[in-house]
Amino acid sequence: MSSARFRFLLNHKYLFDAKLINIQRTSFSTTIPALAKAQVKKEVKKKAPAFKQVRNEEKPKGKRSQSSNESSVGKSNPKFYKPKPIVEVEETKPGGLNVDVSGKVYTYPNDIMEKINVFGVPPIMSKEMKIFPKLSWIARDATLDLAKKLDGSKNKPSAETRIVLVGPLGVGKSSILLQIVGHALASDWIVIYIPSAIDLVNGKYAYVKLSSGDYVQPTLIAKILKQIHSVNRDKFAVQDSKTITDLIDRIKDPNTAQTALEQVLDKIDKSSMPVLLAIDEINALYATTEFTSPDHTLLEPGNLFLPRTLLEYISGQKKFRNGAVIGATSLVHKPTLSYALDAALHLTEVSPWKQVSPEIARYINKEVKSYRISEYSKNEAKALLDFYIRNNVVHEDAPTDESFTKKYMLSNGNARKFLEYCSKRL
Amino acid sequence: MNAHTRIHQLVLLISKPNIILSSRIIRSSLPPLSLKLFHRQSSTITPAFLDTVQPFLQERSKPHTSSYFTGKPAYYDLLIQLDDLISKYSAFPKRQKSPLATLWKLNAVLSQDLGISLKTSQYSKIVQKLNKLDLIEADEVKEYLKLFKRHYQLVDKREELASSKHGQLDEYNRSLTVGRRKEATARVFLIKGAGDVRVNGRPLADYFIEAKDRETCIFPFVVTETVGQYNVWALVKGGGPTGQSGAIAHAITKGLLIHNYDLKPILRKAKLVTRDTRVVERKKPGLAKARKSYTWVKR
Repeated sequence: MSSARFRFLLNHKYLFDAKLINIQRTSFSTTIPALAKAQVKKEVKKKAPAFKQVRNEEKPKGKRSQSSNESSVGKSNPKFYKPKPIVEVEETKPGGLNVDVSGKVYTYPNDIMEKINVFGVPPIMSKEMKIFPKLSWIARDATLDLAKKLDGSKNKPSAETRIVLVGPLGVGKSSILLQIVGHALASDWIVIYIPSAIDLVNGKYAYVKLSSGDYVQPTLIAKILKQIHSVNRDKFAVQDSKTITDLIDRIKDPNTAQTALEQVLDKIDKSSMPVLLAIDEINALYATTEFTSPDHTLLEPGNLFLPRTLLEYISGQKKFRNGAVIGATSLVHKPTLSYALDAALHLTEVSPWKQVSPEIARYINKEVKSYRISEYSKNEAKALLDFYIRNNVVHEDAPTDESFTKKYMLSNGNARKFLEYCSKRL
Repeated sequence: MNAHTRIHQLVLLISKPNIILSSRIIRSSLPPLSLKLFHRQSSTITPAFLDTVQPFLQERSKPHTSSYFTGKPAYYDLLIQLDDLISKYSAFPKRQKSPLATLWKLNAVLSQDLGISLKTSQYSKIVQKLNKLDLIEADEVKEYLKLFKRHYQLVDKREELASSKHGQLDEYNRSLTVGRRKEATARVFLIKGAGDVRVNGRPLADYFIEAKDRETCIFPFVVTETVGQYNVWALVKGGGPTGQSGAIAHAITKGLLIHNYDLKPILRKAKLVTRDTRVVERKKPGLAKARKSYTWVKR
C-alpha cells in the first residue's frame, strides 16, 4: 500500500463519527488568574514519632520468657510454617500385617513402635521421617509379596530363605525392610534387626585384637545383645532370659563378648521359634572395613567377629532352625558399594579385571536371591501424595491432577525423589 | 524587478491551492503599504486591484495540521488521532486483556505505509495506543484498527509449517523435531501418551541428576498445561546437562507446535520458541579469560 493511500484511509476511517471531525485540538490557555488560583499545597505537619516506652510489665522475667510452640507458630508466616496436624492413620492389627491390598498407608501400634525404636531406624530414613508425626508406611506390592514369603519360611531353616533387596538409589529398600521387620514383630517372630551394617565396619565401635587373630568389638556386641534381649524378652523362657542378662553384664573383656554372642544365638536357635535376621546396608559386609591391622592393611569384614557371624548366617554356613535372613543394599555411601555382591546377585557383569579378596569370596553364595524393588506405581504415588497433603507437608495450596503428574514425571516414581518434590519443591 | 511585477507574481503564487506561504515571505516580498507607494507606482495598481489582493496579504495562512511545526507531522498526527479515539471511546465497554497479544504491523511495514521512518520508541508508542484501542468494544474502532493489523502473517506461518517436509506428524502420529542449546543437539519424538519422558533410553529422573535440568526439559508442557499428555523420546548428544536439557526443551516446543500450532503465542511468551543463541564467550588477548583481567599492578 502506498503511503498516500494509507494516510487517506487513516483519515477516512478515523472520520466515522461526525463529532470527531474536529481534528485540530482545541487550544487551551492558562490565564494568569487561573495560575493564581492554583491550589496551595497545605503543609502537613508531621508529628515526630514518640518513642514507644517499653514497659517492664511487657517483658516477662526469668523462666516465663520461654515461648511455647504455639506462640512461635502464630508469629511465623502461616503459609510455610504450618502446625503439625493430627492425622489418623490406620494401625496394623496384631498377628502380622493383615494387609491384602497395596496402596494404603498404615502405622504400627505402640508396642511394636517401641520395639522398632529399640533397634533404631537407618540414619537417612530417620531424617526424612522427622517431618511426619509418627512412623507411617505405605503397603506396596513388594511388602505383601515379602510378607507372604516370610510367612512361608516360618518352619524352614533360615538357609532356605535368604533374600537381598536391591534397586536404584532412593527406591525404598530400607523402608520395605523395616516393614518386614514390623511384620515379623507383629507375627511373634524373634527379630534381630541391624539398621546399619556400615556402623559395624566403619570404626564407630572400638575393636580389640585377640591372641587367636580375631578382632572383636565388645561394646558393639554388648549393645546388640541388649537390643535383642529387650525386644525379644517375652519369647525366651525365664531361665534363658536370666542367663542372657548375666552374659551381657559380664561383657567386659573381648573373650566374654565372643562367648556371649555365641551362646545367645545358640539359645535363640534352640528355642525353635522363627528368627528373622534383618540387615540393612548389607553391602558393607562385602566391602573392606575402615579398621586397620597392625601392618596397616585394611581389614575385611570376615576378620571381625560380629560381621563374620552375620556373614556366616547370610551365606548359609550357619543357620537358624526356623526363620529367614533378609538384607537390603544401600547405594548412598559409595566406599561400601561392593562389586563382589553385585556380581554375585547378577547386578553387574563379572569382570576378570576386578579382583575379589578371598576373605570376601568365601562368604559369597549363589543361593542368596536378589529381590528388585521397583518405583512407585501411579496409584501408590497418589495415595502417598494424599497422605503428605494431610500432614501439611506439601506447599501447594490446591494440588491438582496435573501437578501430581508433573511430580511423578520429574521423580519417575522414585520414592525419595517423590518425597523431595512433594515436600521441598514447588 | 519593480513592486508591480512582484505583486503580480505573488498573486499567481497565492492562487495555487497547495502552496503555503509564511506571512514573513509575503511581507518581505512586498513593499510597505503606504499612500506614497500609490503615488509613486504606475497606474496599474489601482485601489480596486489592491482590494482583491488585500485578503491574501493580511490574513495569516495556517498550516493544515496542528503538528506542522514538529519535525514529524505524520507521526504526531497519528498519535493525536489515536489519542482522540481513546478519549472519545473511554466510556465504552471494554473487553478483558487476553494472554494472546494482537499482532500489529511491524515497524518496517507501518513506516512504509505512513511514508516516514519510525524509530523503535515511536513505533512502540503507537503500539501502546493501538493496544488500548484494541480493548474497546466498538465496531467503528475495530474497522479503523484493521488498517494496523497483521492478521495475514500467522496463517502464513502455520501453512508454511504444515506444508514443510518435517512439519507434519508421521504415520504413527509422532513429531520428530530438533532442538539446540549451547553445544548440545536433541532429536525428540513427541507422541500422545501418558507423560513418559525418556532421554537416551533412560528415564528423565535418572538421566538428569539436578532437579533444575529435569524441570527445564518439562517446562514447555508446564507452560502450555499439557503435562502428562505427551510421551517424549529424546536422543541427545553434545554439551553438558544444562545444554542438553535446554536443547530437549527447544525440541519439545517445536514438536508441540507441530501437534498444536495454537500454542505458539503461549510458548513465545515463555521464551521457548527462540533458539537460545548464548554460547561460551571467547577468550580475548590481554585478558585471562573472556572477561577476567590479570591483576592490575601499579608499577
